[in-house]
Amino acid sequence: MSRRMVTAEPGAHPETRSTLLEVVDLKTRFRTDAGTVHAVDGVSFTLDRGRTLGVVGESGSGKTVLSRSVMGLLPSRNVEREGHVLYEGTDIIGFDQKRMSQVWGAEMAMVFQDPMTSLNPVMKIGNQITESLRFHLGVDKGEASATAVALLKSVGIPAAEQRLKEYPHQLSGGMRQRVTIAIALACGPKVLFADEPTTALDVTVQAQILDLLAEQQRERHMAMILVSHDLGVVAGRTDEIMVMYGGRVVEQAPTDVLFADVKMPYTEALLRSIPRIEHPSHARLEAIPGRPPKLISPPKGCNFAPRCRYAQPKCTEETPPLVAADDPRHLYRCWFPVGSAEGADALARNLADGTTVAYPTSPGSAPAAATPGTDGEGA
Amino acid sequence: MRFVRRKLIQLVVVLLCVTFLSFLLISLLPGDPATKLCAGAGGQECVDQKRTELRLDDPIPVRYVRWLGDAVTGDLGASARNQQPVWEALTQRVPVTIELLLYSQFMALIIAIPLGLLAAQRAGGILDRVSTTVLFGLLAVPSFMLALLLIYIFPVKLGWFQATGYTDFTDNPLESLGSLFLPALSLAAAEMAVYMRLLRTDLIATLQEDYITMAKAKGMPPRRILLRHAFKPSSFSLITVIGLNFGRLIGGALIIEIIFGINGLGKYTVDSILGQDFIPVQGAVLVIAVGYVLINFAVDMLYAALDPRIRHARALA
Repeated sequence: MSRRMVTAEPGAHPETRSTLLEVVDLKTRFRTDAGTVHAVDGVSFTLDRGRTLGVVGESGSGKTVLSRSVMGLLPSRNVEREGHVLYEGTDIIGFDQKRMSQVWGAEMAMVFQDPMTSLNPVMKIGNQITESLRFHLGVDKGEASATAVALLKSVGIPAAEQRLKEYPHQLSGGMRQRVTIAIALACGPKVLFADEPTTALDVTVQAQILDLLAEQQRERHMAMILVSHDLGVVAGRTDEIMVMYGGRVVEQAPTDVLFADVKMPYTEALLRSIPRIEHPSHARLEAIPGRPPKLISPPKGCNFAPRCRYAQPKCTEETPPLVAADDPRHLYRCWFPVGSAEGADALARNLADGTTVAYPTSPGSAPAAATPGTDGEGA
Repeated sequence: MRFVRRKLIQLVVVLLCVTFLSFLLISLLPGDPATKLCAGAGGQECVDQKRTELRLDDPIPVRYVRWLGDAVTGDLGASARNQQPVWEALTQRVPVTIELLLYSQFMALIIAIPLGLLAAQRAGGILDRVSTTVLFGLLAVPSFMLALLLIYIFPVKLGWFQATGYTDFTDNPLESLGSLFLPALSLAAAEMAVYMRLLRTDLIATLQEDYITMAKAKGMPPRRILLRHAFKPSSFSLITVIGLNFGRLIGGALIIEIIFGINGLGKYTVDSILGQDFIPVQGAVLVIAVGYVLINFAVDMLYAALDPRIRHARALA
């Protein structure tokens, strides 16, 4: 995919290593008939120019809502947003639609999960690209078309001139995702949100799309937030990783630091659930038992406790704060972290008991939390 | 083009079936034009003579084929009551009906579309609730009631518009539209609510689509999103129902035509049926059937014009 030569290494811009986006204690709540859903519950992070942040978590962990909330794309009815989103030093959280229109597309752009539904089926591809060029940059029709052709070529679409006149259904899934990337890149945004950009795609094109995103990011010196449920996807492609669970950040660290020293049992569980090539074939896949927590009136204590192999009485009573590890850039939220003496103790106790304190005592469903090693039979 | 050809064949088949069935039905009714013509004078002798004259004694299929043969050459026969050729009567009546039809649908849509768009954008808002309530109120009022009410308010009390009569569009377009304003409004009132709610519901669903969020994330202004991105894919149910209403109204809006004294196709058909004057009925049925099939065809073509996926699927079929 790297036909075009990389023009700028991240390290080539030492002077531009400045903060682009700073999110401070962002909360997002949905008011529903059943109660208030705390979809994002106090998330903070900083993103420098040209850097990549990976946001990882299961379905329902709040990662998609987080990216939409930062961008301000959520509907205004029945949604509450609190906290600060500082973009180039300006807090954009209070911006109305009109002022956000200047930010969307031009400063921040998004690539959506499913290219089958994120392109308008009744609009020509050309128009879908040129309309934002004409709106944001005020260029005329001819110039916009020329730019659109260049964009389509840069994202690896052959016969670009011809594609402008085609409709989305005439393209394959991978091609469509390339088109949505071209649309997102059209006005030269400084931050690109990629919300599970490969989840809906055929595995054979997933790597191509991720490579394309990385290549475009390098060329444009653009910051990126890569949202994924797959730690494997973000591992080699991010500078920093934020693991989310139940709307909260449970572990956050520079990518190499995180993989060298996982602290949070949830992150460990996610890592254990990645199938490994060195495992014998037909080895049972690890799963995390149970379900993500309900976000309406969450219980006290750590919200991962019911599914955690390390869970102790303290975990169901007190919510662990986000604390720094030896490396101050490494934050985690756990009373009995992986790799610590307390953690090892807690796990040993649970393995001996065959259950954990937090596991709901429903008959018939054995707590997989305490099953050792990789057999995973309880799941 | 295969699609068009298939539709044309379908048109011919539908026309044959409809005209034959109506021919059959009319022949089964008691009484015939001969008894009508000789009513009061002549007795049985006259009836027999007229029957022979009109060749009513032939078997039904023979008469049908004869009628069909004449019809394709443009001769639809003549009224037994006043000897007016059916073709001539239809050329007078059909334009009135079509004008009323287009006028009323235009009125309904010009109110329903903007309201539907605005209501969908702020679903559950004041405008949504008020417009829904008012339009459903209009829907609940029978059209003859509304027509009488409109006549009472406008021509009688305020002296605006005329209570009855029709000015030909080719004579004076403006006056013609004035003469049909109240009838068209009476017809449109009930349809506004239906059109508005259909568009609103489909739009609300469309506005949840990813490609709308995508358009928003591109920084497109809300009005452009509504009109350029959401309107087209949300108009299918609306078009379907408009098509059905066109089909229904092509046969004329009888009650409205009677109240406002308009000589449309509906009044012509019913007058002929009541007068046991069946040749004109047969002609009217033909016009209605052709109208129905053509409208269906137009709706089908509109789907394809709006959605490229339908266009391509048909091109491959």
